[in-house]
Amino acid sequence: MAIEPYQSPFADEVDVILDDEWLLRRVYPGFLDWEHRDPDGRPRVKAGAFQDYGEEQAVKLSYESPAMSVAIRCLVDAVTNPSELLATFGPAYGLVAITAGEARALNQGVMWRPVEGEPWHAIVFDKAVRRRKSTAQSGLALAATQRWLIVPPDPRS
Amino acid sequence: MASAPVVRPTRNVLSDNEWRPAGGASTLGVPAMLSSRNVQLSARAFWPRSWFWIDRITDRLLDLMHLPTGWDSYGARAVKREAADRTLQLLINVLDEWSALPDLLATSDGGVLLEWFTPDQELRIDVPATGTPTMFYRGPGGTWEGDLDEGSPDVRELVFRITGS
Repeated sequence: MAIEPYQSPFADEVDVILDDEWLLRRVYPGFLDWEHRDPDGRPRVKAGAFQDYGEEQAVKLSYESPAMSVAIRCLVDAVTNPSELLATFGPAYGLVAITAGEARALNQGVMWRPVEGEPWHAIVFDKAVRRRKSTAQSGLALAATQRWLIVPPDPRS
Repeated sequence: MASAPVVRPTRNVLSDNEWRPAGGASTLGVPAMLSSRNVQLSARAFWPRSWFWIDRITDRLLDLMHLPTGWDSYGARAVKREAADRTLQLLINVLDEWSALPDLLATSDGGVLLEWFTPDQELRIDVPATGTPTMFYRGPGGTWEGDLDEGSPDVRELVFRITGS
């Protein structure tokens, strides 16, 4: 019996969130690799920074399937500044960006999903599988490593 | 997937009294403490007394089990005991005394993420609390991703290929 191909419950809003739109993502300090830096001294972003929510958390947030939170930069800029996204999490967290087009090139969809107090909130989801696989996580991390917004201080210095 | 031949590191042969049991080993019948903390990890395996990294890995896993909820700023939970046990078991099975240790990270679902990385190659293993671990390898010959089972590439060989140890 043939297995039905996965159909994401989310919609990739290509006409709402254009390919050149920046999507911002906080990075937990443990997902920063200070051993491998770019020429400007900024750390590599580990692929683990681009995981979907866990199943329990997705249910708690009333998501139909696991997905990953991001902030749409133009909407953040309209009401505050990107540094506010880190305000309650301490100076060790970083902020990186990918473009919607980079995500789509990895078979990801992007959907505007505002939440209370965060009108800029959106989700990135995998269009082919329920949870994002490592290949796509790596691709997103590679893109993000080239587009740092806020680099935290090196914890070793 | 790269198919270049790999020199397999030699595993020393040890006598019975050079090995010690991990907690929960079926021949003992009682779990052994792997840490002085309140939480114990167990693995159904034996390892040589000289394996210095067991304590390091155990401490790191216990740290991950005590992460606060929401540690990633997106609501992720701490590593589950079952995932930590399975990770310890897996590492005992695939590493040698002098193998390069992976970076151990938490997943958003309470699993453990193992990562060996160099700019040219990387190996990641996602160990969930339940279900089949998955593996991702990127190297000169391309990438491989799938379940970690009998049909997947040899982890020890890949670690040696990436790290040289």
